[in-house]
Amino acid sequence: MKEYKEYMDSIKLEADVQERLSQQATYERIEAKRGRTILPLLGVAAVMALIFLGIRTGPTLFRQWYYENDATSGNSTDNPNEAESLDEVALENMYELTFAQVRVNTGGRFFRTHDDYSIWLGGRNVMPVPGMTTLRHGTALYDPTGELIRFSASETEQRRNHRLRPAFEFEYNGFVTSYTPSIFEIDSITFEYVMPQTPFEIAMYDFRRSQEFQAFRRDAMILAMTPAEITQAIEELNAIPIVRASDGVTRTWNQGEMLLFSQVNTALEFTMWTGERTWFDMAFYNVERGEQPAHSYVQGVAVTAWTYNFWGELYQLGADFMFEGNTYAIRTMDTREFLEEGKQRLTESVNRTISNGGLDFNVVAPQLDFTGFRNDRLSFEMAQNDVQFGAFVPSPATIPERFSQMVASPVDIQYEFNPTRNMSIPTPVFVISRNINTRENMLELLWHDWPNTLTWSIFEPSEEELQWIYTPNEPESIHQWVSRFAYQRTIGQAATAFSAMAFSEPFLLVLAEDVTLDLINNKTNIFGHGTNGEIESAYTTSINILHNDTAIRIRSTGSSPEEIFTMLQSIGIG
Amino acid sequence: MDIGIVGRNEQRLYRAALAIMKGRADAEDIVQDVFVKYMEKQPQFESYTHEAAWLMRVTINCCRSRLRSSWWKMRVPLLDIYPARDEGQRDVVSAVLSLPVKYRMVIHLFYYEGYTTREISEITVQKESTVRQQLTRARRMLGEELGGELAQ
Repeated sequence: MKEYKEYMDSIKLEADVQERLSQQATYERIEAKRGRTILPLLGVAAVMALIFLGIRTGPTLFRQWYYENDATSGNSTDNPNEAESLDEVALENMYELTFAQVRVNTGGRFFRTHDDYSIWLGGRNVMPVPGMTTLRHGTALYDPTGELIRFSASETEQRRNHRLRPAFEFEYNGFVTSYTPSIFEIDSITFEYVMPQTPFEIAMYDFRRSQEFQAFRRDAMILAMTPAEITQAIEELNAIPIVRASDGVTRTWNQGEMLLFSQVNTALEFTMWTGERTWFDMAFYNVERGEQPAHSYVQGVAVTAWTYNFWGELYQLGADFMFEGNTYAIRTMDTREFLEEGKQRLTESVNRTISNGGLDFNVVAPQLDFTGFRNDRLSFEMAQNDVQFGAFVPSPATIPERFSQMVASPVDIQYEFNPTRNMSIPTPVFVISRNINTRENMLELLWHDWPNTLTWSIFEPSEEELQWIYTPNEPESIHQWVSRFAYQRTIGQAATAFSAMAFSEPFLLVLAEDVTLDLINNKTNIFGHGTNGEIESAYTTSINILHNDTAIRIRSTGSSPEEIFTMLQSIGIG
Repeated sequence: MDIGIVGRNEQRLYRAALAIMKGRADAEDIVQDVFVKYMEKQPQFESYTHEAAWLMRVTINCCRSRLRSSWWKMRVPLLDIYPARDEGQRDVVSAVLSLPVKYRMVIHLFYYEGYTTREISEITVQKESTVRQQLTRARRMLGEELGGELAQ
C-alpha cells in the first residue's frame, strides 16, 4: 500500500478551496461576535506554511536524543535529510547484516521514559584507572535497599557546536533529567555534596572498560537481513496489536574510518492504541571488519556473540539472545589488552542470566496499565479548559511578543539544517502537550523560535520532588555543591547561594508565596552560547514553583525576568 | 470557530472524501459541509486526536449521505481524481478506488489514516468485527487484483 500512501500524500486541496474555507471560518468568527480577540490570519498562514513546508510528525526529538547519546555514532550528521539519503545508500549496499534488534520503549518524549522496558546494569567491573587521559563521568543509581540499578556514562559530544561538553544525567526513582553546565571544570568536581540525603551516588569510571546490560520486553522482534526484509518488517509492524498508527520512520547510517564498522538504525515512531507514543529502535550492525559473529547455545539458548574494534585499541563485545520471551543484549567495552578478559566476562554474564531464569520484568518494569494515559497535542483553548491544569496556563495577553503570534500546532518540534550556521536548528513552533503516563501528569506549553524558547510545564510533582522544596535562606549543602561549578555571572552580580543552586537543579521547588521579581532575577543568567565562533547573549531563566499541589517548571531563553514574572502574575503567583 | 482547525484537518478530510467519492468537486463540497457542521455544532474537544476523529466521522457521514441521495444515484459517476505518478502507483490506486465504497472506506482509514479497526468501527458506526471482515475482504479483493503487489 506504499503507492497508495504516496499518492494520497501528494494530493493537496486546491488553493482557492483552502482560501474559501479560511474565509468561511473567519466570517463565522466575525458573525459569532464573541468578543474574543480574533486571531490574525497570519496565524493561519503560519500553520499552512508549516504544513506545506513538509513539517510532519516524526521522531525528530528521538533522533536528537539518539545522536547525543550514541557513543558509537562518531560521524553521524545533524542533517536529517542527509542522514536519510545516506541510509538509502546503506540499505542498497548492505549485504552483511548480522542481526537486528527491536527495542520497544513506551511513554513520552525524550529519554524520560526510556527505562520503562529496559534496565541498565553494570559497574561491577568498572574502576578508575590512574593515569587515564579519557576519564568520563558516570552515574550510579542505587535503589533504597542499596542495590545498584543503573550505571551509565553520560559525557557526550554536543554536535551542534562541535565541541565536547560534559553532561550529567540524574535519575531518581525513575525521574531522569540531564544537566549540562555551561562551564565545567572537570577536575574540581567532587560529588559528596550532591543530594546527600538521597540514595544517589555518582562515581568516576573508565569509559573504555564499561559494561552495559540491557534487557527488553519482547513486544516485537523483527529479524530482517536484507533491505527487502526491512521494508517488509516495517510494513508488518502495523499489525502489532499495541500499535495504532505509524507516524514516521527515521533511518540513520553511521560509518567511518574511525569506527571501522557500519550501523543502520531505524527508529519508527508509533502511536499505541492507548494514545501513547512509542518507538521501535531497530539497529542493524554490519561487523564486517570485526570478528564474525559466533552462534552458540548456552544452556539450550541460542546466543549470538560478536565483537568489533574501533578507535584502534578499543573493542566492543556483545551477546544477544532471546530467553523466556525477552530479548537480552549485553555489551561490554574493553581495550585490546583486556579483550580476552572481556570475552570471559561476557560469557559469565550470559551464563548467569540464563541460570537465574532471566530477569523478572514485573520487578524492574511492572506491566503498565494504560488506562487513562494521554499523549495529546492541544490548542491553546483546550489547554485553558484543561480541568486539572488549565488555571495555570498564562494569560495570552502576557505571552512575550516574540511568541504571542504563534498558533499551537499538533506537530512537534522539527529540525532543519541551516547551511549558514552549519547546524540543525529547530523550526519555529508552539506545541502544547498533555501527557499522563507512569512518569508524569503534565500539561506543557513549548514556544520555540530559536534561539528563543520558553517551556512552561504544569505538572503534579512526585513525592520525591516534594522533598525538594527550598526557601531562599536554607540549603547550605547545595551551596557547597554549587560553589564547585563555575557559573556565569548572574544579573546584578549578586548570585545568592539559592539562585546559583536553582540555576540548573531540576528538583528544587520554590513555594509560590516566595516568588518575587527579585527571585526571578536571581534565577536568570546572561548566557553566552557560541555558534561558529559567535557569542550571543540571552537571558536564561530556570525556576520551579510549587503552588499547592501543582508544580510549574519554567525554562526560558530570551525572555526577560519581567516578562516571566508578568506571566506568573497572570496565574496569581507573585 | 477555531480557524486552526481548518489548517489542521482540511487536507486529510479532503483525501478521505476523495477516496470515497472519487471526484474532486464532490470531495471539496464534502470538506466544506464538514466545517459547516462543525460551526453549527461547536463541539468541545479534549485533544487534537478527539478533534480529528470527530471530523473524520462527520466526513464519512457526509459522504454516505451524498452517496445515498437520489441525485447521486441518478447520475453517472465520473472518475475525477489526480494522475498517478507512474504505472505501479496507478495500478494500486485504481485497484483501491475500484473497490465497493464500504471496502475502500476501511482501506483508506486503516492504511492511510492509520486508524485501528476499533477506531474505524467508532468512526463508521459499525461493529468492530464487521470492520475486520470488510478489511479482510478488501485485502483479498486487492490481492486478486494486484497479485503479490499488496504485500509491498
